Amino acid sequence: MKLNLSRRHFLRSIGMTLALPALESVPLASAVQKTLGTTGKAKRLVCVGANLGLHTPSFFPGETGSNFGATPLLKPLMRHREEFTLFSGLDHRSGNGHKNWDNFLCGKNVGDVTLDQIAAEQLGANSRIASIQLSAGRGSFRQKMVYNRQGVPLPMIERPSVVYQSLFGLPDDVERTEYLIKSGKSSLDKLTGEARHLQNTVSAKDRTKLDEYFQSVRDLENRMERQLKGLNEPRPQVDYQLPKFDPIAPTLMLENQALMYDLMALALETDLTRVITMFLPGLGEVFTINGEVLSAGYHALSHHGNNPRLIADLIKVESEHMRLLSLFLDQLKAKTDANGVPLLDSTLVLWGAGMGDSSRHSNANLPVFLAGGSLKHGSHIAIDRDDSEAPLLGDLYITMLQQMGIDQNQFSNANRSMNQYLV
Amino acid sequence: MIRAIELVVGLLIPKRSENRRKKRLIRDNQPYQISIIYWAIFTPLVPVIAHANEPIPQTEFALLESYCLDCHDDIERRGELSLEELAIDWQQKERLDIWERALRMLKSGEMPPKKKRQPSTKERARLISWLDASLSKHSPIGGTVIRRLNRREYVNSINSLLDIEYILPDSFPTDSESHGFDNQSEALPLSGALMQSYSEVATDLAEKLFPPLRKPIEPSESYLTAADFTYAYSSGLLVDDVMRLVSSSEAISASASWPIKFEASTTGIYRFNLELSAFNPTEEASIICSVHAVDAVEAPGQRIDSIRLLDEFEISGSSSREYSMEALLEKGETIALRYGNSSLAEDRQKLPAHVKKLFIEEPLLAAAYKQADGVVERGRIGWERLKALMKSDLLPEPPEEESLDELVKLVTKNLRLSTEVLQYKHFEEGPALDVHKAIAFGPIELAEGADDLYWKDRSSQLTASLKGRTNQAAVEEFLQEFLPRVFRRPVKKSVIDEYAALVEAEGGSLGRIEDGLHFAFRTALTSPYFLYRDFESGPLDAFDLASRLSYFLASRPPDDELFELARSGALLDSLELRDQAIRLLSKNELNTFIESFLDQWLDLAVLDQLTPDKTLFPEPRKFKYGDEEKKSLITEPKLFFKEMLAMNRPLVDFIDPGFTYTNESIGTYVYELPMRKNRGWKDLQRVEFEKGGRYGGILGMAGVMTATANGVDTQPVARGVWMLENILGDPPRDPPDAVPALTPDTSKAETPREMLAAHMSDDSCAGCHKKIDPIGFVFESFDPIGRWRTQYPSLSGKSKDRSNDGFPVETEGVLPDGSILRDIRDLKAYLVNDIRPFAECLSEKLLTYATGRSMNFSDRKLIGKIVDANIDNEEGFKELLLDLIDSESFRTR
Repeated sequence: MKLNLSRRHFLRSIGMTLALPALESVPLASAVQKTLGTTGKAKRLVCVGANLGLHTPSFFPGETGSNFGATPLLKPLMRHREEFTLFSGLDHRSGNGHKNWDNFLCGKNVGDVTLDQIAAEQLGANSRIASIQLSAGRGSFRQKMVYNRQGVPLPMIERPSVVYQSLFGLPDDVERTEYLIKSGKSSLDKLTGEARHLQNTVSAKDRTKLDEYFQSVRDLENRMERQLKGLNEPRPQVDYQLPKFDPIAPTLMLENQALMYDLMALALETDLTRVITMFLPGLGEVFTINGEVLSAGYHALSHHGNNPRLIADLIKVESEHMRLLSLFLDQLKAKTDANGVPLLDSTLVLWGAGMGDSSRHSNANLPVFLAGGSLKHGSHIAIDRDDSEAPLLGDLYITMLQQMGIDQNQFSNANRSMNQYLV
Repeated sequence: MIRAIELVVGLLIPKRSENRRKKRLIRDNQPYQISIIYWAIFTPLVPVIAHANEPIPQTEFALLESYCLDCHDDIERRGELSLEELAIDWQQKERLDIWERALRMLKSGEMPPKKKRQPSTKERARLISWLDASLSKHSPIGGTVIRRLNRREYVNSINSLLDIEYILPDSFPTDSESHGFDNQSEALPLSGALMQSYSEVATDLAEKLFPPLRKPIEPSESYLTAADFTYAYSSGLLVDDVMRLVSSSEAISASASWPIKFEASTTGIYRFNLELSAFNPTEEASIICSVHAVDAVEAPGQRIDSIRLLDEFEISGSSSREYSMEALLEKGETIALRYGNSSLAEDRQKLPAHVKKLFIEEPLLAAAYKQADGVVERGRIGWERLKALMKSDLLPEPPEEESLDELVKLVTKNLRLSTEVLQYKHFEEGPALDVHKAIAFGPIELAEGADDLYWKDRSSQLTASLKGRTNQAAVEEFLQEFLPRVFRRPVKKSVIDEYAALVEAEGGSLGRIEDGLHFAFRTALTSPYFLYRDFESGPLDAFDLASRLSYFLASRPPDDELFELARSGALLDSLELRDQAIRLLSKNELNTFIESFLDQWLDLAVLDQLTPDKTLFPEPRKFKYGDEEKKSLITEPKLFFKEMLAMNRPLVDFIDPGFTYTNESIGTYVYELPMRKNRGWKDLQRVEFEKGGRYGGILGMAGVMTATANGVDTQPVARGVWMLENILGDPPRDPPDAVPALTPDTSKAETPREMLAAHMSDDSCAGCHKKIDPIGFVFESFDPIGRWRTQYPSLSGKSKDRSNDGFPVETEGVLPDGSILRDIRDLKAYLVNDIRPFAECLSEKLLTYATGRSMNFSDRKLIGKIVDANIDNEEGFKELLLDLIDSESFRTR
């Protein structure tokens, strides 16, 4: 009998329903050697990307320099005005459309290693978790935001409870998890024997090839060893209560986002990780903000066609994004590192999008906001895209990497920096 | 000895270029002299040791001296090539390549250059025969190293083994390419990350096939108010503490509401008490509440036909009543409620009828819509505007009859927009389903969901031979059946015993045989015997041959029939091997071979990522490059290839067949062919035309022309190189390091031909470019999506309209052998006239893909013979493919 099951079952089954830890306590392989990642003034990186971007006319101030006024979307952020910089006119000079949204942290080409992963190689070397990828709920557009060196998109965790558990809790079923890892290790022992037997029967060239197998088995053994150790490692105790249910329903995306920001601040404070990304999906959900049900779904609002009433409601959603970001900055100012210095001083917080105008699916002139990390902040830097010398978004990333002590002079299609504005 | 001395003397007395010869001797004084002495004295005495450097025989060396080394010595290095060596290290692939190139040049007469002194026919023949013999001796057929399954082969192997359709996660590593293919043994390394992915997939499958005993879970109760229900795309609205539902659109996100604070903690039976009522039901029909099971995370993307219906309730009155039900939910599922029979739905059929009924009942609404020209804002704002219009004094007369139908058509043009506006009308006025609250309780008992049952079924299929027995003999019997299928070859008794011991140890310690099988299963699925193939050097044994054939033609492991033929050894027989190839080709899996091979050979895979620039299609737009056009471009070469194979067409038909497959849009606007209309815009049609024209065959194929351009402009060098590599099998070397790549910008004032003229005037460039450029220029007739053109686009100012009114396209050129090409027709005629280079190139690609290694000199010689025979006997492509499969190259590892 062949059961006719819907594709959903397989889609679900690929999700690795294993009890294995969702976040491995493993630094990236290439960063195992202790690096000099702590010499930079910035030691932490947070990147947030919004699927539908922002209504830029309501975001960018008309004034440039330090005397910019509060636009509707900047209002919630104005109390931090000395700690952030706004950039207009930056982008990666690549094509339009949803697919190219994904290059937000890659540079020109979707799939190139992302800013955060480059940073994680150094900053993450000594923390329990090299980097964490989050999504504030599920988007039906399967947008990707983070790519590793191999061009593989890294999965994003959508449930606050899963994030909490991987950071501060234990897997659902510690016993089963432990069994799977331990028996997995003894399975590898058996396989090493098998491969050794095989090795005796093949040619010299094959033996070189087979060495890869031994090497991979040893590597996996180490990974399992670390997983096992991570399982039994004491978790930092935090005084934080998650709601009983996960806000994964689309209408609860803003609630989800708020929880994710809380967990991000806790993860940075306890130094479990130093690199975090969060994707903000944008679907058709109708939000209720301050008790008012908005007139249309978020995605529909973003295709406002310059209708003022739709824009008014869109700004209500986007103001929530800004308000939550502002609250997150408050937390980073209040929480301190081991030396008693506010986290924001050592944390670069990038907020932006791969799309500049989602009403037209245009990927030029992206909304870019950068806070913290001991850079020189406090102004609106307007870049003239028509100037042949105009910096690219990648130039800003170069400055960010350098601020984190990572000596890199090139990022995708950019090879200068924006140090002149920020350092 | 005397001859050796003569030679030394000969070397010391240069015939020509005295100065240079001296320089050479002075420079590498030491090693040179030592090797001369070694050569002169010991060569006659010491037998040649295999793998050692092999001295060039003196006569041949003298000939090289006279005719080649003037330019190709260590000092001159013309064309970045030096042939200056006394002995050749044939183990170096680089030396093999260089000397094979030298042989090719000698054979074709390209070298020595016409203007230089030429060897006599006898001298040339002597060099040719020496090189041929040496190259043959030092490139034995074969050379694949043990070969890891690539991603495609791996997942197909798992799916064949378990008869499932598992999809690997996005995070599963992809493979790197070599020789243009993703299945080459040397380019398929194994890494820790990949090993981890293998281990996770194996463990995931083991958890599904042999799940651990479930622990009982205490039932719990969730109280859900109306505000605890979700709504998206205005599917529902919270009105007076009630969740109101009005639509039966197919998308869940546009019609259903589900609790946001409840999801099944485990698969089991749950009880629900739902408090529901009807709001302003119509007289004709009562309101039906349908209850569905939906995955809490995946819910927004689901449609009604993809989720399970659990129950339906007829809602009798406007005061709320409790409705109870029990249902099985899988872990992570929740319930979704819908107004199942609402006549409002985002649906091409239903919506116009619904709107028309509303307009007849309420002419004011129709008048308001008429005033708004049928379009208002989406959602509540639109509805409020309609209400305001309905109250205003300036309304036009409500439309009637035909103009009413026109208005309905206009209003329902944008289904989603109008549905979302009218939903707000029904939120206010009904009819609607009201959800007051709900209580969810469970799990009352654990149960098996469809997933569990599916895997249980797979598991019992897999372990059928156990027949429920758990003793050691039964386990061994199972492993004897299972392991050979995993490893694709018979398994020794000792290995069976080892695995049986694993099952016993692991099952014993946990108390269940399933736990033992779980362990053995995931061990086998990460074993080198599963992950690799092609174990033994030399001729393939029957089992490796079965795997090679099956992964070649079906990208999956051998099926039962092949496995049996391998077991009996019958597969080694030529006739049987060919029969099996024909059988695999005629099965559906044929598509896997054609899809995968053509995607890689013709680079069709890039078409998926490539979107031609808008400026290629000037306004008014007669042609749109959309998904269907893209699909036509990708599919055309595959249908064409399929016919070439199925009809056993002669090889010349790859170049000038007089037919192709294309859809109406591409056929009309790209090929300018008379297409049959109304046969479905999307479907590809088989079209025939005169041979000898611009189109037909691989060369001018729209997909190939698009894949070899970049979506914006064309580059003659890029296309020329591509043709040499993939059609003519004569790949040029990389350009010299010092030379920056010339990428002519066709929009500039200079024509590409002017820009490329530099290639011909520089000696180091001309060597390759006299081959590349004439072919590249021929293809300039095809624009970046393969349309015929006679002029380049002009870029005057920043005009978006790039019509073709720029420089004329010049396609004329001369091939290195003097053949004159006026345009693509001449190139095709040239290839048809001697199809061997193309046939050899295609054969080499097929065997590279099949064997997982690059072809060497001896392979190429063998291919040459097979191709010659095919042409001499006037055979077709299918026969060529079968001859390749039955060849020593295919049969050797």
